[in-house]
Amino acid sequence: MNEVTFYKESHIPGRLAEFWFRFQKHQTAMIGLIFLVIIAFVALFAGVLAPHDPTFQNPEALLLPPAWDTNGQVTYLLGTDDLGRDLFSRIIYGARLSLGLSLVVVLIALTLGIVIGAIAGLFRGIVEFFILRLMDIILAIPSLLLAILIVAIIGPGLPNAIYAVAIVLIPHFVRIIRASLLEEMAKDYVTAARLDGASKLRLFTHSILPNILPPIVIQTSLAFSLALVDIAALGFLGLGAQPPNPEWGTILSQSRDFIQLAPWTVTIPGIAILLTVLSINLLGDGLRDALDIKGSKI
Amino acid sequence: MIKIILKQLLFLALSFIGITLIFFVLTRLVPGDPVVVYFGNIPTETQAYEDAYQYLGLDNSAIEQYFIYVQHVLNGELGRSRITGNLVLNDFLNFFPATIELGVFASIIALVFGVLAGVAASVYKNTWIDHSVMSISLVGYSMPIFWWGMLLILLCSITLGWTPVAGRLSYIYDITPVSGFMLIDTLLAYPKYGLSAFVNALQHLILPSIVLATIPLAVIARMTRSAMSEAFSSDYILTAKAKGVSSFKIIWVHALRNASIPLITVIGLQSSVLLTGAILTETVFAWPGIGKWMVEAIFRRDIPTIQGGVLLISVVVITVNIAVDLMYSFLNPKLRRPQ
Amino acid sequence: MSLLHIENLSVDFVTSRQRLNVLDKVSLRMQAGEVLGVVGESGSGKSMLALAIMGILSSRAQMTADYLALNGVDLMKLSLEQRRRFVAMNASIIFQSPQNSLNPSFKIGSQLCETIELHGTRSSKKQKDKAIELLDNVGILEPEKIVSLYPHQLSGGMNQRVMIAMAIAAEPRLLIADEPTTALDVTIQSQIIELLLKLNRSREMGLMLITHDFALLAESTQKVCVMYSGQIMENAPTKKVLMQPRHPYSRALLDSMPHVGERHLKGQRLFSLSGSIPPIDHLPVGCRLGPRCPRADKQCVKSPRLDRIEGHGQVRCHFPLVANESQLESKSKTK
Repeated sequence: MNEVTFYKESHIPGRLAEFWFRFQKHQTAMIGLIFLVIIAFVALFAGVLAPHDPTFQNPEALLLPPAWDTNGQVTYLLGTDDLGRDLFSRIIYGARLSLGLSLVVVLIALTLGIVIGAIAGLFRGIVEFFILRLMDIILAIPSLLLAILIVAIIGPGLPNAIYAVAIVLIPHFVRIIRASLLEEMAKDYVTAARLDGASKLRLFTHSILPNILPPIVIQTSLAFSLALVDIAALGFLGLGAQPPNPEWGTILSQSRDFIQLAPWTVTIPGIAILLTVLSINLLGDGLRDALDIKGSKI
Repeated sequence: MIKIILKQLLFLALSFIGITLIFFVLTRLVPGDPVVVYFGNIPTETQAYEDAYQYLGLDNSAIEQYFIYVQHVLNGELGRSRITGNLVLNDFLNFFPATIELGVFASIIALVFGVLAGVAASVYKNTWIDHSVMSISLVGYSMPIFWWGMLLILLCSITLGWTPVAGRLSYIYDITPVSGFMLIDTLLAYPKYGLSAFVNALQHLILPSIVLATIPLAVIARMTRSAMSEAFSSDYILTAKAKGVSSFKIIWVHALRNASIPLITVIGLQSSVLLTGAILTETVFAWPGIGKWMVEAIFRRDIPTIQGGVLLISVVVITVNIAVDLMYSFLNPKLRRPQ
Repeated sequence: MSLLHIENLSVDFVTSRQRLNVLDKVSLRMQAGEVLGVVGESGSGKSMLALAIMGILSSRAQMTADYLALNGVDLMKLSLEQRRRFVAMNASIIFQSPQNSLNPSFKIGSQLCETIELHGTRSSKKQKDKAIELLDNVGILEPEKIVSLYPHQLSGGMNQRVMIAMAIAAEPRLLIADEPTTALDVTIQSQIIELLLKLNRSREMGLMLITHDFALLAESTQKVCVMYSGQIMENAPTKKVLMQPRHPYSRALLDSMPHVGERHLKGQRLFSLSGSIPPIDHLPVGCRLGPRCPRADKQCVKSPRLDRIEGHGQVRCHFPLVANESQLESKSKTK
């Protein structure tokens, strides 16, 4: 009767539930997440949502200002470009390209990063030395310059841009994975698994990987925003997606000449890039706070 | 200290081997006859073709070809541009000062305002000052700077007419390049134009510098804030306060000196970010620096220029990184002298 | 005139959501040259008291006091900056972890010289001489060498000596030592305490020794002040508290101390108070010790006052232990 329960919770939430609890308290991160979900939705259903074909050229509606302008038309919500293509539809289809391509790039970099990082961390010695030096060298070359170099040599175009950006992102993953791997390897639970006779592969996938997920997740969010900006930058320089592809950076580079005549063709695609990158970064901030034990202590 | 320097030199040597190896492999991957790739269309069976063939050592094995390539690089023979026929090294030296000028100016902006904003945010933590610094820096950090440049041109140059749209200097001035740095050269031309040329150069410089400084500024501000906050929560700050040290000195000497240690690493990493940014900024503002030079070379498929240019830029970045590492070990007494 | 006179000093941490009381109406006095012990578990507010006296609480803390005087000067009448400067001239503090209390980026010498300069010595030559002399005073060998070293190159004990040297550079009337030996090896601990007591005697400098270790206070202090959860529970001469504690908490602290020698019977279990110190955002109603107190009764839901007990000192308890009952050997529970 007199027993007082000091602990309100009768069950201990799982890792994922606890993470979500901390994450959803982070208001700005939730805004970022919601915005990203909307963009992802728009990208997936671009075909249904876009009012026009993104490459259809309407010679009757060249450089039409957005609908809220006195000269604008409601059918062209965000106006048209110099060839009479609907900007709104191009942005929507561009979301598919920008988001999809960055996702592909990040997945490539993440997979290769985990494999190379794990090899470096698990086998040590001369293998590790060469891997690390190679990564240092890649890091020493400015990322966009390296991407430009690769594109320049294997030729411009979307697939090449993807390889280039992915290669640029790999070293960050390798470093983080190797560092957290070594940190975990020194801990007793890994020793225990080793004494049980676990193979190196099993040790990595079953014991270590679940415990180094937080830094990997955070690095992934960082890489995602970097990939998005770099792909857009390559598109802007004319080395990535080629016109008439409605990639955001490519749209920007084409509208450069009309900056005075039709400023909306410059501002609107840029806002799309900025908002998307911003929400990824907001999301990343929230992830860091929710995952990092050190950070959550205030 | 000597150990650190030796380690850095070893790293420099390794990086050099690595980078030249990567470039060698990449350029040999380019489809086509290496001679044509390097020297343009020389008719085969001529003496010139034979010379070029010998120069690249194409008779030898791939490994020997690599060593011949390294030898050329070490001699400063980075080849000639396939388009202009200029020596790549000379072109680089011509275009580099413009980029340095832009980069240094942008670094100063980023460093001064970044540290000020970060210190302000940490001193007034959890107030509106902190919140605005953090929000604005996040937007700055997320900025696609090529668009940001166009936006500023639209606003400051086209709409408001405050600054010129592009280039380094108005065409009405005829400045003989002495140092390659426009701010210095226009000052040297003082007898001819007075200060007007200098002011004009400054007006051209300001917008690209702001654009280039945006991301490093945001990163430095956030990093300063976190490093300063960590310093402020340390016991030695309490000691200093208890000693009666003024708040000003606590912030700018006791805390900042310790915060500068992690900060230096971050600032060092920004040199790479700056050069990446320079490529985009120079393209947007038609700034005649190495970034614009590189992009043009790529469009012309000018392989010797691309190869030599990227190699030289990498050397610059690696040198800066090493300098930063040395500065880091100088500032951090724990690294300078062992226990 | 007392060296330190505190009446009803309270400190609250104010956040947007709540107000957390970390020090509740603390009152105490110290005479010049006196050694006062402040004892309590971690979280009892003893360090907060030290920071409050020095005027170096974080900006989120709100401090109020009816009267707070150092050397006869009413500190509450000064602005924060003025107060800090005045206190710095008259009092010094050393902290628990000497490695972290010294700035890692500056040489020992330059940190000492900074303090010396703040106290009026302008010439850098004289500053350096004084720094060496101070280091010599705290028993550091080869002070000429030490001044050009960084804190991480010295041991914890050495660093604490440097901290003490820096503290006495101010020629303070009061030295607050906040757990000065907790982070040090046992053999070094007694050396540091001895040094502090020596300085206390030779310089007529009041010493406030903050610790969680009763044993440390037994031989070094004249008066002791037992704190729990931000309140003073008992405030009396050290001998009296040791022999006849009147507050159940003081008694518990003493009982939980392993004794070497007569008092502790072989095989007897060491006493420990159940539970732990309440978090400041979940303080119990009434007496803050209430839920853990073996003597708690209905009346304890009302906050007890700090009352004077004749021939002893001040005690904050509705049911203070009576004189003979509180003899440590006794186990009876009569009131």
